[in-house]
This record gives sequence, C-alpha cells and structure tokens, in this order.
Amino acid sequence: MWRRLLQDGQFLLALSVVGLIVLAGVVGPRFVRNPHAFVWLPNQPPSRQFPLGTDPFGRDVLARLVVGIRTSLFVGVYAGLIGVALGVTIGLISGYLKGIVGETLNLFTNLVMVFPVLPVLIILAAIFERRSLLLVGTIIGVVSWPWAARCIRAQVLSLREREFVRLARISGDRSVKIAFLEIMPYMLAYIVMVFVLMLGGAIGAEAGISMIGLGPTDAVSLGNLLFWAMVHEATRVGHWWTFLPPGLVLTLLTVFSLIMHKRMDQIFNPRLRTW
Amino acid sequence: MNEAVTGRAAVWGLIHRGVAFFAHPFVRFLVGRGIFYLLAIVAGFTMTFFIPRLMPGNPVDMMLRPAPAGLPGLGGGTAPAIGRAGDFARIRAALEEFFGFDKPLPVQYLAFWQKLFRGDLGPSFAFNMRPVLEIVSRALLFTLVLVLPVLLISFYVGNAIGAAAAVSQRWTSSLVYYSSLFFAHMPFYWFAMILSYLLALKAGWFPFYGWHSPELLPNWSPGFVLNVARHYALPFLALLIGSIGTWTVGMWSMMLYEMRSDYILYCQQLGFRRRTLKKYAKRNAMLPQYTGFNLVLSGLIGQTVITEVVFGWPGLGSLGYKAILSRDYPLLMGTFLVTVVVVLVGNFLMDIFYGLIDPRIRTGYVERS
Repeated sequence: MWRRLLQDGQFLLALSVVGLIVLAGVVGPRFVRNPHAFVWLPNQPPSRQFPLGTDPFGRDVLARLVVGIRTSLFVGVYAGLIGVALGVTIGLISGYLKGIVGETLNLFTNLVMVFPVLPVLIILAAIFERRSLLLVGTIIGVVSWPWAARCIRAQVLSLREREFVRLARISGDRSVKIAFLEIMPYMLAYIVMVFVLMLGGAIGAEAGISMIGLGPTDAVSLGNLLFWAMVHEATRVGHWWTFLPPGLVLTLLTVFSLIMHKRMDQIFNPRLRTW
Repeated sequence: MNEAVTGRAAVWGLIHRGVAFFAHPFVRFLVGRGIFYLLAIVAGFTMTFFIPRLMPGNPVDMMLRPAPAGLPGLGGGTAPAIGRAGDFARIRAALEEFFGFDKPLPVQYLAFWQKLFRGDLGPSFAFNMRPVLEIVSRALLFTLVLVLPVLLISFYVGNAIGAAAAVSQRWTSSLVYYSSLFFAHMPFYWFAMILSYLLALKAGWFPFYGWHSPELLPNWSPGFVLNVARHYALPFLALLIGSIGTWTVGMWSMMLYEMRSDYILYCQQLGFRRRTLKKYAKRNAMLPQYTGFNLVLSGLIGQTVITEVVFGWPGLGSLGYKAILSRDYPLLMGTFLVTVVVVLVGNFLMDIFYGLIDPRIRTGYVERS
C-alpha cells in the first residue's frame, strides 16, 4: 500500500510542496540574514538583494518569512502531537469501554466540539501576558482534539467486534491493554492521517490568534507577520510584499497537507478504495 | 356521577396525549438536543468563570497590566507609576472587592449566575463603565449582519457550483475544484487584506476601514445607507468567497460519491438524461451538506471575528480585539459569552431544521448520533 501511495501523482505533488515549505522552514533560517536586525532602508519593494523587500523597521521580509515558517511548523507539530495524543486516548477509551465511562467521554467530546475553536483559543490565550511557543502550542492542542476523538471512536466501534479483539478479551487481557496494544496499532495509518490534518489545522489556528496579537510573544510566526502587516496598514500603503507571502505559504501548507490526507485516505481506507 | 366520570376521562385523555406527545420520536429528539445545548451553555459559562480564577493572579492583575499607549483601559499606560506607592495596592484591593474576588469561590460562582440571569455582564472600562451587555448587543447586530447573509448565500451558490462542477466533465471542473479548495482553506482575513489592497487601494472602489465615513453621522438617509453598504462590501466579499469555496468542496465530493451509487448507475443504464441524473444525485448529496452547517458556522464565526478586525467593522471581533488591547476583562468575557451563545443557538436551530427535513429523523427511524 505504501508503494501505491508513492506512485500516486497527486500525493507526490502535495508531498513535494509541503516538503519544500518544511525544508525552507528547517534549513532556511541558516542561510538568511538576521530577521530581527535593521539591515536596509525600511519599506523597500522586492529587489534582487532583498527578494521580498523590507518591512517598516528595515528588516528583511524573506528572513522573517523563513523564520516564521519554522515557528509555525514547530507550533503545528507540537500542537498536533498533543491533539493527536488526547484525541487518540479519549477516542480509544470512549469507543472501547461501553457503559458509563464511554458514554460520559463521548458526551464530553461532543460538548467540546460544539464550541467555536477560535473564540475559545482567544479567551485562553488572553489570560497570559507572556506566551511562549510551547504555551501557545499546548493551548491549541488542548482545544483541537474533539474531531480526532470522534473519528478514532468511530473506527474503534467497528474494530472492537473483530476476532482478534475477542481473542484478546477471552485470554483475559485488561481493557486498557487491548485498546492500546491491540486496537491502536491497527489504526496507525489512520492516526498518521489525523496528525497530518491536525498539523494544518493547528498552523491555521496559530495564525488566527497571532493575527489579533495573541500569538507567541517570543517568536516570529506567519500569523505574527500578518498581524504586523495589518497594524502597519500595509494594504493602505500598498506594501503587498509584507502580507502576501505569509498568507500564501499558510494556504499552500494547509491545502497540500489536506490533499496528502485525502490521497492517503483513498488508499488506506478500504471503504473508499477504488482499486 | 356521570360528570365525574367524563371529567376523569378527560384528564386521562390529556395525560395520554401528553405522554404520546413526549413519546413521539421527533419530540424526544428535540428535547434531547435541547438538553444537550443547555448543558453546553452551562459548561461554557462555567469555563469562563473558572479559567481566569484558576490562573496565577486573578483578572484584576490582568486589568492592571499597562495597556498600550493611546488606548483606554484601567492600566492606562503609566497610571500606577504616577501615584504614591500605596495607591496601586489600594486600587487593586478596591477592584478585587468590586468584582467580589475576595469572597470564597462558591459564593462567587452563585453570584456569577445570579448576575447572568439578570443580564448583568458587568461594566466595561474601555467604554466609560457602560454595561457590557449593551455594547455587546450592538456589536452582535453588526456581526450577524455579516454572518447570516454570507452563510445563506454561500450555501446556495456553493452547492450549485459544486454540483454543476462535479458532474461536468470539462477541464474547468477540476479548475473549479482546486480553486475552491484554495479559497476554502486560505485564512479569510488574509484574503480580506488582498481584497483591500486590490479593490480599495488599486481600484479605489471601496473604503478601507470602519462602517461609515467619519464625516457622516449615522442616520437612515439613502446617502448614509449607501455609504455603509460600500464599507460593508469588502468584509462581506472576503467572507463570502471563502465560504462559497467551503460549500463547493463539500458538495463536489458528495456528488462524486452519489454519482457512483447504484441507483444512479441503474438510471444511467435506463438511459436517463444527464440533467435528470444530476437532479436525483443532488437531492441526496444535499442532505449531508445541511449537517455541515454547524461546523461551517463555528468556523465562519472565527474567521469573521478576525476579518472584522482587518476592516474595523464594529462587530464582536473588533470589540474583542479592543477588549484585549485595553485589558477590559468584563468586556472580553461578555463578548466571548455572546459569541458562544450565538454559535450554540445556531447549532440548535440547525438540528431542528435538519430533523424537519430528514424523514428518517422526523419519523424516528434512526436517531442522529
């Protein structure tokens, strides 16, 4: 199945776009100027020397973009891991345990899910005066797990009736052990897909709260770049190079990680498989 | 004697009818959803009560943080530094007493609900101690004026485009799909900035900021309404185009799924016209789209909140932004509570509507999970 994935044109295209952006974020910061330093005249349009121009403080926009990608990716991965861990744990337990525990967890999941993510993030982030990257990542992860839990639960509900699970139950294994050691490995591909989707969502969420000035206070992120472009009224003075690139990178990252997810789903999910 | 018997029969009849009413699957469904959303509201309000209190320090500390210069707020930039050393502590203590933070937690919690039932969300510092509820209601109006038309129009247009593109076999069809995917997943506020650059700066058709030109006073004259409409256009377009993308993408995949299903293939064998097939498939593909309303509403509210800030449209988002900047804690909480209530009420209405149009729920054939 993995080979089939590597022959899929759309998947490869998506993988390479996401890969390029990740590469820019991971190794890019080594090759650019100091993103915090005053390096050239302020508000200069793109030129050969500064491919994305400079911002109102005379800083190199390309350098800030590359560092912003790194920050956003970091927050995305960190929040994604927390979200997946929470979602998988809660989904597994609520799906595997019938009775009061499972029902309560399911109700809890549904309750958290009806709340709009962004306002909740805003209210949580507004409490803190200083917000480190880890703090912002944690907040996003803690808020974004419910849909993952629901997807995992749906899978568990069908898997729990399979023979190998019954066998484990007959041989007297404890429920927790069955859920995590028998059922979870069975869903690994699915969990990877959930993570890919969660990553895109978390990066978008970070951008959203950064955009109203509630993002990490100790780093430059993509949302942060948009925020400062808005504060400096970049659209009114026509400095398109300060707001176009961060949003474009954000969108491409989300769209292509979504396409990756879709193609993987088409291949790993037996119900959608067309071959 | 005879009258007593008929009286008793009438009472029994009423009880019977009452029981039958609550036994009806649709009523049970409604009551279940109602209880669920009440629970959600209680949970949400309780969260807004506890979170700030479980944090180190308390909301008073947050209010007393210096606000950025030029913005109203209790922190008032350098206010604590001007007075004598003891003043700051006195202000802090007075504020704690005013908000009741010095009382035990259960007492505070009860008082919190008591105030909520009276519609008292506290005073706002950034707006000269005017009641939060009054300020938030006005902002809510501005947000709904933006969200509701966007939601309805994008639903209609997006589904039409999605259905048409999914069955068409021309190359434009995948172009429509991929551009919709892009529109659906871009940050709407970023698109708003691009629109602002292209249509307000380059073309000069629309204003950049606010909900009316500063030299005009709000009234109902046609000139003023036109002025507001021009301010309304850009935030509306930004949200609309993004939302249309969202619906188009959803409809596209549902249509592809339906067009592969057995009944369509059978009709195809029978030689039905393509237009007829599309009509049949669309009716079934629409149903899951209605359930998407809840999710889209939640997402759209989030995007609207930020897009409002970009354009200075005086809705809940701009209000929350102002509250954050001026450390106006009661205003921030009030804005949040109202936003949550709007989303939950919207969800509830959608559930009812969905129950009405889906015959399986209406007749109690299945319960929606």
